[in-house]
Amino acid sequence: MLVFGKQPTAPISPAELWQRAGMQKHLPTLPAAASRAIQIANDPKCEIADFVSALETDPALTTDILRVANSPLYRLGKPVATLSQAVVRLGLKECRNLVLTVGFYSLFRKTPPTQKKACQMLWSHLFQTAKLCRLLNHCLDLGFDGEEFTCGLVHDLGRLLFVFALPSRLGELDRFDFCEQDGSALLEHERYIAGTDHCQLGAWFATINPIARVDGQLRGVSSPASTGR
Amino acid sequence: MVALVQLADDISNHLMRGEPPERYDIRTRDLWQTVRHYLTEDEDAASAHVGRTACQVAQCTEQALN
Repeated sequence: MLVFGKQPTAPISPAELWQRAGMQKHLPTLPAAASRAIQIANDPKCEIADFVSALETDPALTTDILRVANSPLYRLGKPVATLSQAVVRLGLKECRNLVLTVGFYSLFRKTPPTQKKACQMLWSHLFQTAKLCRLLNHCLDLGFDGEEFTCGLVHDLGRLLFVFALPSRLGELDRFDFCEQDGSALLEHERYIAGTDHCQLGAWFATINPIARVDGQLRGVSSPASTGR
Repeated sequence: MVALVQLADDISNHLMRGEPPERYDIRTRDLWQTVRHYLTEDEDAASAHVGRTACQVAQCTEQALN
């Protein structure tokens, strides 16, 4: 675990932060079945049966997906009882987003108990941003084809990674007040405390972990230059 | 894509702070300069369209979450 003094932390790479925090063997990953299903769904020639088969290897994931598919957010008409019905009802791309959502949410279950409240707020923000991306894409006819949901969902992945890497400093790093009018100051503050910022951390993580590579988009979304932060 | 996520992030931050959706004003944000490139050359019409849409989306989202 890192120990900080009152002086600013010297700049370090995200990889070094992760290593110093003793997290190198604890990379948060999507459930294997979710990763496989997303990989299948990303193939334009994929078969629905293959997508469903990949998911069915994980009963807990299957249950979660059906529960969300039958929630008021997605439910249209009669409830769906099987994954195949969910794909037929919602479409493959929407199911892919659903798998990613459920898989990504499972990461939040692994966060330290003391940070549950902060993580719940962060999750609400990420999921809300993903849904807004989808709705704006539709309303403004921007032409994206599902990848906008993914980008919205993972755009603040670096903030979640700070929860894992520096739980004891989270209160100083992130107040979760969602006041980001001065993004540069926010990132500067993070670098003062941790030696790196959540954009760098998220972009680095995308290079080593398939969570953020599902659409190959995260680096563009989370890099400080592209966000203007 | 970056502009879209920035816009969604900004609206979500607005809602997470507990501010009413109808008070979201896209015109006040720098990101508008990027977003408008996706739209028509008529800036006033495009601005009004995006502003309306953003408010509608924000209201729909809040209703869905509640």
